[in-house]
Amino acid sequence: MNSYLVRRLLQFIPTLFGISVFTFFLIRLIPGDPCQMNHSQFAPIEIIDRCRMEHGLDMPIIQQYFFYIGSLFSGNSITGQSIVYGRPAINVLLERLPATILLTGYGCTLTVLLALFIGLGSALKPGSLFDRSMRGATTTALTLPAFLTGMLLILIFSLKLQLFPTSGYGKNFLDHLRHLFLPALTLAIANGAMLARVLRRSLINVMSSPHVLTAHAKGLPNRRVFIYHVFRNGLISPFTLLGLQIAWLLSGTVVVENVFALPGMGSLIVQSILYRDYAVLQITTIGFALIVTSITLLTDMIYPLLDPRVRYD
Amino acid sequence: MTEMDYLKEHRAIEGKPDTRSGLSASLTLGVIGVLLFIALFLIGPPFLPYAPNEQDLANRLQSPGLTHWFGTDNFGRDLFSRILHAGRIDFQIAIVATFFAFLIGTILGALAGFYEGLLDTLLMRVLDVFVAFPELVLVIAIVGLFGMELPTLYIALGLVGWVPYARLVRGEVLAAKHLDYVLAAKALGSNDVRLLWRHLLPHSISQAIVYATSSVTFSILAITSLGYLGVGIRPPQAEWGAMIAEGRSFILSSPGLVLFPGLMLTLTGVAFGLLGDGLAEVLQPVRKTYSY
Repeated sequence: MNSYLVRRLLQFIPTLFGISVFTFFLIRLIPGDPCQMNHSQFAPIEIIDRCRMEHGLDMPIIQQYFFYIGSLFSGNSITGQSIVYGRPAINVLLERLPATILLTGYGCTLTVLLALFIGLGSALKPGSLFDRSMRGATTTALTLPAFLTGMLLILIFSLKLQLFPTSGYGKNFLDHLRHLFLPALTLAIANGAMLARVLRRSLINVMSSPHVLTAHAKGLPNRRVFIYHVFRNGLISPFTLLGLQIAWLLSGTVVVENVFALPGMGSLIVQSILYRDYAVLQITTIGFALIVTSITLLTDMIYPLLDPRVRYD
Repeated sequence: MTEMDYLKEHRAIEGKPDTRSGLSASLTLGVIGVLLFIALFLIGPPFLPYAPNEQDLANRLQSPGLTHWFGTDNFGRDLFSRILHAGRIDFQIAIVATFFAFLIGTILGALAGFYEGLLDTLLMRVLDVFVAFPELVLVIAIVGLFGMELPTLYIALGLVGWVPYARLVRGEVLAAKHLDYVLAAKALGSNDVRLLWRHLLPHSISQAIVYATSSVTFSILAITSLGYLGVGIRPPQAEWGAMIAEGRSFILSSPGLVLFPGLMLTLTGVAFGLLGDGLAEVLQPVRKTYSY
């Protein structure tokens, strides 16, 4: 297990390398020049050339990559300057990071709560009224795009009931929680519905396996059978899904931050793509990638604990 | 409780034999719904009285009525016509993209799970790289790179979407290949292709198929999200997401501009969801394989 951990941690490095190369080339190959875009179309060619030189954009593309890696390791300008903001891209990112992290964590919490409530409720009494109505509700929820859910939530809870603000991030932590409730709920509705369905199916499948029959045959009370023999086994596939869903939640922030006008990484990255702000796009993408890879690493490490059939040797 | 009772009870839970109505209902409704939408989107548009981009500024923001079933938008364009044309394009992209993703993901996932070793490690690293990017960002980047054309959208969505299939199938194959029946098949002399194709894939693929069906919905969501963000199919081409974004300013006065495309989007998604549900029940009939 320990050697697995070490190996898995070492695999982290090529992944990061892959991410950096992929981002770098993908972004550099997009047509359009940031210096050209950042200056007026009437700007003299000398100014644009100087801008290109300052940002290393006049070198051959392979060299640009090493220049970029160099600036990554040199520390003074970690990934370069943001062409739009005129300051280090990483600072721009760090300002936007907390809102997105909080939104994702909040969304993830609501997702799990929603899924446990619906999934357990349906799996315990399959075919019941609750099960059937939740089946309908989750089917619908899965198909609602985040921007539509968000707009409907704003319409109902902000404009009609006036319970939550329509947009913005708030000032202190409690205020953040209040402002982010609707955005987080928007993220949780679709993801929670999916997780609930997988949890239900998984629990029901486990309920019909022989070890559960044995447990019943031993005369264990139903509650005990459920908690010790069904629930834990039933968590394996939902857990795999949850690992993937964190990436989807982060992906969802791109839309949700736009709907609710939140100052997060999601709105930053869309903006940087539209302005071709390479430095911000790179550091933000790498930021997203770092978060997601860490989560994947964590899921992979917990997986054998949940499912002893999967062994890493 | 006898074994028969037990089996009966759990068949009842799975709902297979005696509650046929409840389950095939999902499948029937799903199939009917999907066919209905296919007919509506693929065959419907040529028969409509209004062209999707035909402006009639004298009749802007009309409420639903007999001449314009769903009313008109802020340019006086017929909403019903636009919704069907939008459905056609969204539907088409979603199906093609899902198929690509399913194919790539299943093949790579099965091979990696089966052979493990270098292939598996390599695939997992590539997969980590793909997984690390929030999918919308990757789609936006690819679409930005190659231009907002239809083929680009297929490729972008396919490239972004294959990862879950690869993970699902790989995980299932990993767990299944140590089971007795696989060992038995191997002992009987099955080669790798036969093991994978006849024994492991049928066991492991059902989740992926269910996922694919409901994933058509996700592809539609992704396309409409791109449209909403203004980086997908460009106006004036009718597209659900872009239509909803345009209608946003009129949500209090003419909510139909948001609600009708939204409703259509949701109903299409529900149809695929039901189909996925129904398929899931058919593909995993009575739980007869034990993984222990």
